[in-house]
Amino acid sequence: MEFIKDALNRLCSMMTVSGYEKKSKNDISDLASPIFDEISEDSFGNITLVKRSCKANAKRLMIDAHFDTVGMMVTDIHEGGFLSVINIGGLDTRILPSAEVSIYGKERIYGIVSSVPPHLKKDKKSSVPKIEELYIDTGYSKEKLEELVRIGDPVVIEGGYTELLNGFVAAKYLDDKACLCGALDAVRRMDKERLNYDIYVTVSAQEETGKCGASLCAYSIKPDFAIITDVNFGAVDKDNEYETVKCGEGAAVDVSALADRKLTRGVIKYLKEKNVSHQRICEPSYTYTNNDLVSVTGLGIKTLLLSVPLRSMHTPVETLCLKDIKSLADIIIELAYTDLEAL
Amino acid sequence: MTELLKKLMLTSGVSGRENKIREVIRSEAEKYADEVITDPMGNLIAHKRGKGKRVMFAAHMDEIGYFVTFIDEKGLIRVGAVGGINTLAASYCDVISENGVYGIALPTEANELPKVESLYIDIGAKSRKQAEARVKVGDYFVHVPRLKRLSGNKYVGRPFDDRIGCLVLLEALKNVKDTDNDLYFVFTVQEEVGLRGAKPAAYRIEPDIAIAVDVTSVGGKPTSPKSKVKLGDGAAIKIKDSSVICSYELVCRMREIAVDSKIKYQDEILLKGGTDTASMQTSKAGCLAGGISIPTAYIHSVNEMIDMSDVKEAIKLACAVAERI
Amino acid sequence: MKELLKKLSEAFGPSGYEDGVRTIIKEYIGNDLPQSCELMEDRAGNLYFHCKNEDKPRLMINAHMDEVGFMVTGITDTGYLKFGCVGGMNPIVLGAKRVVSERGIKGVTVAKPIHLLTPEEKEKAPTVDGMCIDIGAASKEDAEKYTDIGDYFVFDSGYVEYGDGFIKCKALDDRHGCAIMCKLIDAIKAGACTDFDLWFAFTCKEEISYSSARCASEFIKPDYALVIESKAVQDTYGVEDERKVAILGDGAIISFMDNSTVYDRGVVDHLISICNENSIPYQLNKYISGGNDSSAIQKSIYGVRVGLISAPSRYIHSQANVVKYSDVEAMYEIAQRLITGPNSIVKE
Repeated sequence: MEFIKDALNRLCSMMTVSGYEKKSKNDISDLASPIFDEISEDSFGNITLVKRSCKANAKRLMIDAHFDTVGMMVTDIHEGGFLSVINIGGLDTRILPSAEVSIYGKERIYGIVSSVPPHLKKDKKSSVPKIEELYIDTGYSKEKLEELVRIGDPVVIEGGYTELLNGFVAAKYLDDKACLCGALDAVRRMDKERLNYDIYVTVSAQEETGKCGASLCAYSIKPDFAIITDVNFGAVDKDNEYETVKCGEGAAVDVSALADRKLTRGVIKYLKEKNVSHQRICEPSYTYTNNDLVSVTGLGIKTLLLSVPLRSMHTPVETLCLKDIKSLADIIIELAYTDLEAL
Repeated sequence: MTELLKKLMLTSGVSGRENKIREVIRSEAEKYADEVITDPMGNLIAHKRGKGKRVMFAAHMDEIGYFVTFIDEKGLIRVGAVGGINTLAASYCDVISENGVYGIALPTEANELPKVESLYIDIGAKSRKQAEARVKVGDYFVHVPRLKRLSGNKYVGRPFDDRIGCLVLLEALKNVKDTDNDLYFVFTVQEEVGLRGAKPAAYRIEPDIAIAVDVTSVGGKPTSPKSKVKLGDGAAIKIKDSSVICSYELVCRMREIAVDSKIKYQDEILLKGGTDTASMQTSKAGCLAGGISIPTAYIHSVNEMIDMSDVKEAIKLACAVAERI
Repeated sequence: MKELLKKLSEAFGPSGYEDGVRTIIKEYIGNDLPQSCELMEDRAGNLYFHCKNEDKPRLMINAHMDEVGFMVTGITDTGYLKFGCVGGMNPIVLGAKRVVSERGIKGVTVAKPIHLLTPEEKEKAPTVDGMCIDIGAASKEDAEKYTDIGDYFVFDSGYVEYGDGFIKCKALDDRHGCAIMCKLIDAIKAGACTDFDLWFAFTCKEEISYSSARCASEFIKPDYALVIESKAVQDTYGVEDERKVAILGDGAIISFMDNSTVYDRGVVDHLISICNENSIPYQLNKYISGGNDSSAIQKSIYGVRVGLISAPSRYIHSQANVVKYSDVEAMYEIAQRLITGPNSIVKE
């Protein structure tokens, strides 16, 4: 757990807005280099981490977790030190008013998303703001700001790393750093002797803006199997019971038409036999994860989708239970030791 | 350059039917390229060999238009849209078929903004029989091409999207100085229907760097979308559109090159509309992808407007990027 | 003053439970007081510092200690906390915020994730009813170990200096007023002379009613009152100039009118002349909005001549209150010159 806590905290502090992941590639390397045999990166911003097994000509198992996050991009600089922005990825504008942000210009700049109190609004009504109606308050003059910020610079909603009760953590952008953390923890704990595959962990880019990164990795790696890991909706109270998974009850195996049926069924059966705790969730067609494109990359790839329950998705207080990350790692380890073809 | 522009503008080619415009471009490209090929999808690829980085430029040859789907007993022609037809701009405009038959695009309801499906074309035929003598199902129509100079550097007409990009590529191919870079100038097909042509072209070329040259919307006009881009403010360097986030290191490098070469440029974030950039960025294992855009007002109307000074800057920028990236 | 402002603003003190703030102020003022001075509390929870000067006109300086917050109204079977707002808040600023309880339990506010909303729901502004606080509890029983119905939460949002002299923190409304008063008391303790029978009242519950200030006024029976407050202004980009109440950085706001009070003309003129004589930056409010303790004070006892100086503030009643420090300094200057200046504020 110490590794998970520490790694998760480090991952969450990295600026990896979709399309700008390369700014943090050295931080990923620092974190991963003690664990892996090889590290490589591509032009798209994906990072591939390889751990070799002892077997000659071992088959390849790809484990994907994206490390990009939703965010914003500067589109204009106004009088009084205000910035216009647009969203990158599916940002929830309901949580933006009064949120604190960092603008990654020449230097990191603090800002607040300005909000008009209802009694000062023209129509005096409270409504969901559109992103183009929101401005970021930087406290600088326009002239000073123009020296520090350029159009196109990324903006991140800030939020620290807050420990709640029972091993729960609230932090910005655990989607999908939680799964990346789980994958790193899994590989860290893997016994090389027992590995049935060469392990390729793909730290993929731009999942939030088109889900292309992982499939580019898959194209290069040509894995025999791919395990896609991503977060899934953690149940809040009793809302949407059948579309959500429960935080604290372990990682979930996702059953979907776009994940390999035989592999998925085999894994569920195997985990049951081995008494590895897990949940199940059904996503009948699209999973809206990297799984959907990876499964049809190249000649087609057999994919398994695993997910970690996450509450308050796409907010700076995404909340999860650390136990579920460990559970994900446990499942990955178990599968890396197994002949997946035989399941 | 104006002669070439005229030729490019006045030769039609709807998505999937780019043969005529391709031949115009081919005859020009062959003068300057080491090799010119047409790939199975119809992309025209002009190659200028080098040993250095493989750089792919792409501008699309196709344009928006209509396919004839049905001819009714009154001789009115029903059509399917090819690409993003703006029905407000299209209503009551003149159109021309691939065989030179003139007609008018009409909405079915007089006072409502028509849906694309409810547009039809009147070629003046009295009956189905009369119409079928001149137009067959499967023929295409486009809005009548035109080119006119306004005051100063401004030109209006259609389809600047993206024949002006083709012009930039041809001029760059012609003017680029010796460089180590291995250069591909690709005139793509079927961009207007989903960025389709660029994907196999990039698959073939496997570029290290890919740059789409296309039009972008300008802000500040009453009907224009929110944009910082202005006519006359120089070539636009693409940062993002709705299909792509450009590789930021490439964006930064292009800005540097523009500043070093004293090329007038502006930043572009396009909120609505995609470009070939996206297809190239994600082909095979991916590449660094960006865009050079020509600011254009009233895109997809019959009177798109550009400023020739921007085009000149775009040509300079394309050359500088080809030589120095 | 910044250090004190940080300490006060970060303190826990929602309306009705201002104890944390009161303790800090009491400790700051200390017990070592000049003969003529006295520190006392009333039953409403107000804290007073009195600088005796019998038979002189009585001046009350007022700032409120409380802040907006949340109160737990119920715990769901699955361990989430339902809450109500303490003080007026726009639900639009409540989504996905960090909060902390009176017992130090940390939590975050949650609403249904955007992905699971229907298109109609996406268009609608969020409501407090649709939100709850997630503290990571496993169940109702588990949650009850750490919290109970009636517990207070406040925003968990610290002090940050940013841009050119701006400050952000929760509860700057009205802890900067408390800080200014503490500094004025410092000046008195250091021997600054006043020609008033001078009272400082740190009041409670401003955010939910104005009653505690009325108690203070009843207790003190002042001739004059100066209220030190935050004023929500909307000087951000995109707002029409005529709707901008004031501009951050252009100095203290001297209000002539807001939605609850028309300020005493004599006091207003006096405050303006203080600014003009001493080159202190000030601005009049350019739009009528908001209200504060002034109205309760003005209407109390026989009527009190009341004036208001306030710090132009952005994003009031959210986790990120913003003031510009230069404005706070200007407010201190005005108040300091008022209490040490002539006691004939209103020329009859």
